[in-house]
Amino acid sequence: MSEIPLADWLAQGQQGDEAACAALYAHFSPAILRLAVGLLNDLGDAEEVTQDTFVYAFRNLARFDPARAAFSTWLYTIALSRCRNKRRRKWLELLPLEFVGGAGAAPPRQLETALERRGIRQQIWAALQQLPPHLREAVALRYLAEMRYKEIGEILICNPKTAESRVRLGLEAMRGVLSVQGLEWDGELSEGWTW
Amino acid sequence: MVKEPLPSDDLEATLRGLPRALRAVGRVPVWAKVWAQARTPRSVWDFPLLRASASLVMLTFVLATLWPAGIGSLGVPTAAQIGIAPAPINPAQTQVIATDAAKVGLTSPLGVTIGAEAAATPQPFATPGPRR
Repeated sequence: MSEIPLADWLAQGQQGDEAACAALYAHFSPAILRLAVGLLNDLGDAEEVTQDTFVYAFRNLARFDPARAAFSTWLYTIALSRCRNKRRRKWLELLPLEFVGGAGAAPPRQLETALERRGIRQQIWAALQQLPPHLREAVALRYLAEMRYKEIGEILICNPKTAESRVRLGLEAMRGVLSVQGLEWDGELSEGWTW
Repeated sequence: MVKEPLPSDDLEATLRGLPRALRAVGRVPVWAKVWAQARTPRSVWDFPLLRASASLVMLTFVLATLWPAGIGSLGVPTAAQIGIAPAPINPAQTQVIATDAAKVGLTSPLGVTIGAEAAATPQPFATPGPRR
């Protein structure tokens, strides 16, 4: 992958240059969307969070200081914060349904089905969604945003070792969930794989 | 792009395949929409300090309206009780003034002439007061 002129885009973007901002958006938005989908388990919410993240980032781009943090770290921190707010609001919306004894909102099957068509088993996606928030965030940053432990630590405000530990604990918890469901990993992930 | 080698593991291998799978599933919002929203001037509610100030002004207005009107019934002292509003008119004193006015044949501000009969009848709120 060729080196991207991130510093130029940032400098021009801070002057309000639309083309530079568009380049930043094109480069970073897919990863932000993936992270949001992993954390929110809803495509519509993830798209909304992605848009909010970039709207906030572009409005405050002039105040961004490259000496303090990498642009990606800053961007992911904004996205993570918005995902947390979204989850909180959604939880509050669902709460009354649970109080009156209803089954609550149905899990979004559309996303899981679409992923399964691409070789991602529903159980694996469901296991990711069952992780406690601090572990799910670490796993999502690691595997969906494809970040290093150092960057994950900066975003989650912990040291890299703690970030690594959270990812490891998250994977162990996922294996636990999958084994409870009677799934055993035999190394075969092809379409014919069964459990 | 994965910058660090990931340990070989089936679950991890699956997770590493997630970005590619999601790339085909999700679609980022249209750039023009994002840019238009980013260029839209912000409202007062986007600034925490202004938002707090506006909330304070509204709260003060609501309190100033409701407080003298009987919020005291909820256990909160009324404006009169803490001395920031005039005390209510004492009905006994009002009656004494009406009685005196009738004696000299005055008319009330509403145009009702108070006769001697009315003045002679003991009124429920009438209490002996200082005579002028």
